[in-house]
Amino acid sequence: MRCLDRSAMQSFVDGELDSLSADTIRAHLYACPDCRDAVDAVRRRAQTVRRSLDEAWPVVAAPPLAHAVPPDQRLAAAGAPRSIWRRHLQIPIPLLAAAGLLIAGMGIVIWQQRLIMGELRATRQPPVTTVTIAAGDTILQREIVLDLSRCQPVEDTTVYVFREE
Amino acid sequence: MDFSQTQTTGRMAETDTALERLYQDHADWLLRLAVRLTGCLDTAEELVQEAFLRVAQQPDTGRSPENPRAWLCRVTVNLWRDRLRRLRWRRFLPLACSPDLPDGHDTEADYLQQDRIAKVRQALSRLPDRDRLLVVLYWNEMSYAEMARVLDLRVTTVGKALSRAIDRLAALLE
Repeated sequence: MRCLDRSAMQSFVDGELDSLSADTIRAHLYACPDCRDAVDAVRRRAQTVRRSLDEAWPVVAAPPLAHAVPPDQRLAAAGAPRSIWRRHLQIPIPLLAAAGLLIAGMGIVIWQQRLIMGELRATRQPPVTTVTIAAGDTILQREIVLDLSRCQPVEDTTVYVFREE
Repeated sequence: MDFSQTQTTGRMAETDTALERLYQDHADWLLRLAVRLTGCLDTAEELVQEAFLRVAQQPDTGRSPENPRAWLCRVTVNLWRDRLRRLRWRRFLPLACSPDLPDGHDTEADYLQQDRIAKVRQALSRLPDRDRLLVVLYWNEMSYAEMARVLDLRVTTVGKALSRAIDRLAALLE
């Protein structure tokens, strides 16, 4: 076993280790004079500190309960106890509920709007129109997909050059 | 007296009995802890009073918690921390009050004792808040598990933190 660290020594001195760990440490202390001395020093230091502190403060006794916590202050609201945060916030429950509902409603509306916009964006197709072109005696009727965003005006007229898809 | 009144009265009686039992078992111990923590008897009494008042106003006082001592200690420590946060500037002031020193100023031994006591109190008040809390809990015979619960630490780290705090206090006392 390796030598003990300060934390293990403190835990050992305070009797905070399980019996197996304590036995292992006892066996190590038997074989290791350095650790034995160090553990003795930790024990002495803890005792000295305790003694000094005990001497520095007189033993005090609490006043009677009736004086410390008068009966009229004890659970004044025994029938309707309130939690700590409610006591501090002092917000009525109906108001909180209404605010919660409002926020939830707004959230649903915004979410649906985003959903609709997303669907529109995903499904938007260029407009389809039918163009009739007279070419001599034959009238050709073709269905042409117009994507006006790709059209470019030619001069200052209503004639557009578009491509067929 | 209708049923709800009878029920409320019964609950209050049950709460009073539970509170009296808690107070009888732990008030002295808690006051000792608070005095050591704050360095001031008046403040300590206020903290303990507030702690028990909170306990009394809890709806489930009749049902004692698993470890009432650690629970009361935690409430008191939280109250103390709140007070520290509000009074951060106190560090620049000397202690406003302190428990009475032992009587007698006649002999040299009395003066020496008074001097030693003042030194110990000063050393404890100069420790960082967390170290002071650890030392005080240790000094109040709390187990590592209880200390861990009050300080929100892992039990395995209490030994290390405690030994460091004791070392610091010992260094201040030398």
